[in-house]
Amino acid sequence: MQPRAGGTVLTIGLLRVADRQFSDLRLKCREFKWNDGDLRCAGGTLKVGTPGVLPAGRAGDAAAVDFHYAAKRKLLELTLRDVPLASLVGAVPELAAWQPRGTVSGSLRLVGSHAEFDLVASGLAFANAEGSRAAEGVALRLTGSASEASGAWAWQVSVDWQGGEAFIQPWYLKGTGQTLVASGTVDVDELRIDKARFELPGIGTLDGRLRLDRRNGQLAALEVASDRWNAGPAFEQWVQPLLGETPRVRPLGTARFAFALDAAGPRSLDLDLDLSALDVGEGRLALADLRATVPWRSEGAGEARITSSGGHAGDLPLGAFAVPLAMEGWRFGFDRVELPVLDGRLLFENFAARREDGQWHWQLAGALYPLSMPLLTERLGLPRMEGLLSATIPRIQYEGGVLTLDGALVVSVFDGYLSAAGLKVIDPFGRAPRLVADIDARHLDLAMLTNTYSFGSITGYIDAEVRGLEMLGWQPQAFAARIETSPGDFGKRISQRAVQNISSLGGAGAGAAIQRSFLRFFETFGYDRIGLSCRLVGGVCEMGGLAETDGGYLMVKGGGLPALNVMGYNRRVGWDELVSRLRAIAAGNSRPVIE
Amino acid sequence: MRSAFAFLLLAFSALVMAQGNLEVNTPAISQVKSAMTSRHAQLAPHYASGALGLARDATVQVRDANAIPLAQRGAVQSAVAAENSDRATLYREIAKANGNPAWEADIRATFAQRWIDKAQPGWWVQNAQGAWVKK
Repeated sequence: MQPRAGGTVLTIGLLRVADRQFSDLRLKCREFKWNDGDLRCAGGTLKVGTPGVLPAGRAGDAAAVDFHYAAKRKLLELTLRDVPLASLVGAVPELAAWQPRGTVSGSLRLVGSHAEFDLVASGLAFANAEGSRAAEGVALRLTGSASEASGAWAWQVSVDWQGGEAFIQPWYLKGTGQTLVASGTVDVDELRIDKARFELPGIGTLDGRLRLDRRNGQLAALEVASDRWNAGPAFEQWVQPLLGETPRVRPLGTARFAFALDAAGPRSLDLDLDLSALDVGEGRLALADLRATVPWRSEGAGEARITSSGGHAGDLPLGAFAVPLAMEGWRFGFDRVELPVLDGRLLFENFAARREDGQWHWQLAGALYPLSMPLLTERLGLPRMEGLLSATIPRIQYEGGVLTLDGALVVSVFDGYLSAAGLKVIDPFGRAPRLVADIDARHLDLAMLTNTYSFGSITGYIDAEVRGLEMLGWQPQAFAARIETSPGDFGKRISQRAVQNISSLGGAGAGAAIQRSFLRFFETFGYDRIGLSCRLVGGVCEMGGLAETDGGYLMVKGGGLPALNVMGYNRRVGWDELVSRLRAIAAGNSRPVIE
Repeated sequence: MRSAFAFLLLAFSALVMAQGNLEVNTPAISQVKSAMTSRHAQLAPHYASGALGLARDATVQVRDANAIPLAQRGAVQSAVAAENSDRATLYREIAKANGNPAWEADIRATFAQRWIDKAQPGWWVQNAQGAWVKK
């Protein structure tokens, strides 16, 4: 110690506090009193640093402090006044990687083995090198105390976060008066939080307990329980960031949850959801009065119940439904769930799911009870189609990221049926689901399909087959498709408008030819067969028809009176162009056409 | 903004490799490209700030997350993950559409060079040694 003009300098070569060492401490005091083991320093500056170890300019920063030490009472008091956090880097080298900024004021008091602190940080900023944890402009108050007894510290702390922002990957949080009050113990083996309460303004409160094994750094036990949280802001702030670039989910209502886990994994989850509305993807899916009660235990059985009064999926209205979900550990299932869709019902049966080795496996079967096609097409904004739509869904399995249909999905439509076999969806919940299937259609009533379409009218039946259908991101990649008049004896007439539309698909010609000939006086023509094929490769449809002809292919073979052959000439049509031609036809026909 | 679109257009522009056609368009490729084009507006300012860089393996990488404002950091990281997933799909599908899935690695390498060539001055790109350099 060296008394000097204008102050006293106290140098400490090495200070040991608990298991931490501080070297080269220099305390410079404006006023210094030392009396019978009682040491007071007012208006002091403290420098801590090990030159050559820490980055230059950090270690040397000085902290403005008042200091009081009374040896007899084992009392140590330290007051910090707007101490730059950067100056603490000298004392706590681990902080260097976080590039701390901002200031801290407050007091620390140590009496025997009892410590108290009351600190206010302002303009606090830090960032780790990866940028996965960072804060800016944070204002918070940290108070607490700790007492040591036989090697263990009992502590309690409270944090009041008044302002600023933080990013803790993947969450972004703003300080709006969140508080945390927690207490527990810590010794060499274990850190315990016996009681912790978070108050999250605008969301709710969360109570928790935790035990951390300090020897291996593993979580030994964690329990949290919320009160009735405001589901909208809670989801937006805490859940949506976990989902990445996916449609936005907006719940309106409350959610209460509790879960527990230990070193072996999750033990229990209780969820109580009471939503007046749920919106997914800005109206793509909406459900009203969605309520869920989930009492899940890792060991033991329970039943979850999920109900809704309905809503809509896209443009399709959904009716009320209830899902009674049986749960036993990582096994889930239900016997039967009915979902009213429009004027029909979608039935799900024999659902069974299980999680093994971190992977989900599930299966289900189902059926679609008749939907009226006029209603369905009206809702979907399609030209009106007649008839009913129904389907049987054999067993669907999900395993190893692949959704597989066992057997054939059969859809009854247009008085005939459509069947999809070998259907597989690879990575159905990923960014680019890939679907493969073979589709067959038999005996589709063309009158139903085309009558109210502005396509023009065709009577008769067709069969269709699509082989090697492959879709990526729900866009067709490849297939070999063929449409042909069904075998059998039935009336076959095609209207002039339909002829024009068909020929526009295969390249101009027939339509114009009709206009120029006597055939324009006929509204309909007889035909023997219609046939069209498209092999999609590399975004191009290689077109064909019933037979090859000079320079083209036959799409409609005439029959009866008056008879008319329709030829196609374009062998290769870009898929995009074909789709836009079909769209143009549909759009043209959605308006009344006066011929 | 215009230059950003020009970047994408140039990157996607007709270029016929010795063996394959990089410009091949299937519906799935169009869909991926359109998702990438609309995402570009979100990523472009972060290329300019140096937070994101164009890597030599034809992906986008977060070079310096701390250069992204805290409020956007999570969303930008999700967008980068989605972008790289779309890019992987693009390279794979172009190889498949050329009838030769084994070309995927070559197509990726060609794209990597093309992204880097078309990057605007001031953007960060990864050189052949793996070091980040400012264009």
